[in-house]
Amino acid sequence: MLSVIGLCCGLFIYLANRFLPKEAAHLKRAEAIAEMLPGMNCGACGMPGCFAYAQSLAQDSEIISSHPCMTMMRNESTLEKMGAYLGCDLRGLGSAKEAVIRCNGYSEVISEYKGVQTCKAAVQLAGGYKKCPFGCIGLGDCISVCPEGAISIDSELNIAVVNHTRCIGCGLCVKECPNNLIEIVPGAVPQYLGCSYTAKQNIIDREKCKVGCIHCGICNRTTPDALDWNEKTTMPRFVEKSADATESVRKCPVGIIIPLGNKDGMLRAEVRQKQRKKQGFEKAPPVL
Amino acid sequence: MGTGLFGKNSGGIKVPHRKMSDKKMIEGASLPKVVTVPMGQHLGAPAKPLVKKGDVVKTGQLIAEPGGFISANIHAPISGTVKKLVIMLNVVTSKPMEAIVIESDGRDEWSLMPKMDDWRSRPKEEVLQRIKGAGIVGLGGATFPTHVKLSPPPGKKIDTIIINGCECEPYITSDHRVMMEYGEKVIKAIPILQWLLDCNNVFFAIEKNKPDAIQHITDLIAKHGVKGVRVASMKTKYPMGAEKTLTKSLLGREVPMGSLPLDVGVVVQNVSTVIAIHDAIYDGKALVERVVTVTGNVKVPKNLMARFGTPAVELVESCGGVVGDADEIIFGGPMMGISQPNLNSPTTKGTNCILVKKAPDVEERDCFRCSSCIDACPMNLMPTMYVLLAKKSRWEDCETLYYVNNCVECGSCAYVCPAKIPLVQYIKTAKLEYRKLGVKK
Repeated sequence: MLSVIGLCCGLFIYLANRFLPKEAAHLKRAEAIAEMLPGMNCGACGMPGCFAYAQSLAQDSEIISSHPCMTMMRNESTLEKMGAYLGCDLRGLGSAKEAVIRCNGYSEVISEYKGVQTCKAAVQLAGGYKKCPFGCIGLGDCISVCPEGAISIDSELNIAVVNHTRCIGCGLCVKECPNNLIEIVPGAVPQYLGCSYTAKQNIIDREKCKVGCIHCGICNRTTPDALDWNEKTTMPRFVEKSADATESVRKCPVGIIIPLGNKDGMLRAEVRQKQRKKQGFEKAPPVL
Repeated sequence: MGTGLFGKNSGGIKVPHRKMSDKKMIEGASLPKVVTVPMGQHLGAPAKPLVKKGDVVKTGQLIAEPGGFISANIHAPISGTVKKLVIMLNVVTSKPMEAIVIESDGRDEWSLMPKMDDWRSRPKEEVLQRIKGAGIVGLGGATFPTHVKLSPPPGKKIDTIIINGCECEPYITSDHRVMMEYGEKVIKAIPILQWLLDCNNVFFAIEKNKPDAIQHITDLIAKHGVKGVRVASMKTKYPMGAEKTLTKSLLGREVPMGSLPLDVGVVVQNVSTVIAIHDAIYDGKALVERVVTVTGNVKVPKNLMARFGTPAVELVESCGGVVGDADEIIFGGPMMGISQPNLNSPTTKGTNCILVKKAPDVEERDCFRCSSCIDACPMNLMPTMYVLLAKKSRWEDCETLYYVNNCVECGSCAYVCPAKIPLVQYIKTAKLEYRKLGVKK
């Protein structure tokens, strides 16, 4: 009896294999694509893992532009190989992106916080336990989602910092931040503003830190072409223009315009020095 | 009747009463020199300031108008000069909002609205307009604008009014003292509610741990001969004072998911709110003060009649200051109150208690699924699931699978949790994150 059942099952498997050849071809294609993918299963593309991404990519190559794999986008040669396999030109698509955290200063702790140790919970109690209600809470909700381990908490400043050599710009951390501090910028942007204290008027008892943007407008006067000046919040935005504003970086009285990317080390050291002096720290705050 | 809120084992918990100030007469707090009046004192949109720097205002003068349909007027709590308009953080929503700083001139001159003793002969709209104009919101703590509650949409018939004098939270005694000392005002204002809502059936709900108040109110009803009012002595169980649980345990009507007691024909009003209605109609006074219980680690716990915007530290000092080891100041009771970041936080319309205490130094452990929280939940939810889902950021499942928005944040689950998990904080986070998801879509 058992051998008859076994035979029947075997026959069924044989028939299924014989008459469903398309599925197998599709799987083989997906396997080939998965070979080229980074294989970290970070989930930043929106699919549950790299193989699921490869499967949907095997069916529809358009997915690569609607759900881009950020790690692949950084690697021009893999992108070319993938384009050759899928039969479309992907060379123009490649663009390195990275996350920046628009908080770069030390804000003093005003009350002891004993509740749930996540930023999302802490921020609900009077805007967090730090003096600046717009800054980084420092409990690391962004760290827990980063697939590359690119974010860490700076022990001295008690804020999250991004390691730009590791960051792939996937954007998973963006929606984790309750204060909306994280932004994905093109890798070509040479600087960004490391402060989010938007209110023109100071919030009573909750002032910005010593290196917070003072809305002086010097950067807007020095290099007007390199930034968008928001009249309402009187804050500059550098990421849309992607133009060099080295002079503003030097002139910023608080040193909160942070150089990014291929800037020379001298400039970064200069900004570090300025911030260090302002905050009265022994160790220089990190500017990565 | 069993041990629960609505029968045997049906939610609710027993909490120690700790009513340290229930025999203390209400005292008038000394007038503050400077008040900070936040624009977000009520549920809904913040009010819009109508005054500017340098304006001279009188007590009770309108200084801010409603910023939306669910919003309320705000009046100057003291007479004096507007010193400046500042931006401060709303402690409840953590969003920046405007606040008006008024410096007292020490004279406390009132600007009164005309009295409305003849309310019965006036159109209902006019009386409702007066309640709206006086800036009255639910003073039990939720601060829902009262005029909205008192104007049910057409087609909704109100058949029961509940005057809520339960005051189930530990420490707080403001409503208790209000019933004892201003009981006549409450009784005088009940006919206004009956007339406005076309409903004669009124229950005066008081918890059994306040026998003096039950006796006093029963005597007053008999003395004034108000028709249709019955005193209901409720079981002493937390959270009896929440309007949905009160409706269910008193009338046996369960408020459906996502609706208000209004939808089952019930309007619940706190006793302090009823007094504010009395003052607005009979005296023409806008809502500028309320009874605040100052208790906990203070020298003499007191019930103070305090103007809105008084810094908490002034009220604590008028009770003899802090004694013993205390490191936390809470607006509201120990179960639902909100810890303040600053001693200078101004009191608002919803502040019924200032509690000074030592924050418990407990370590959060992992949930071991004892289901104590499920037994304690008065809304029949599963609080433990919110913690598990929140730890995995599954905000959508919190609502679609476990209906987190039905939580009234009473804190019973966190109180009974043997693993000391701050469940309400997880639930609040889940609610907020779920709302954010909706905004993004």
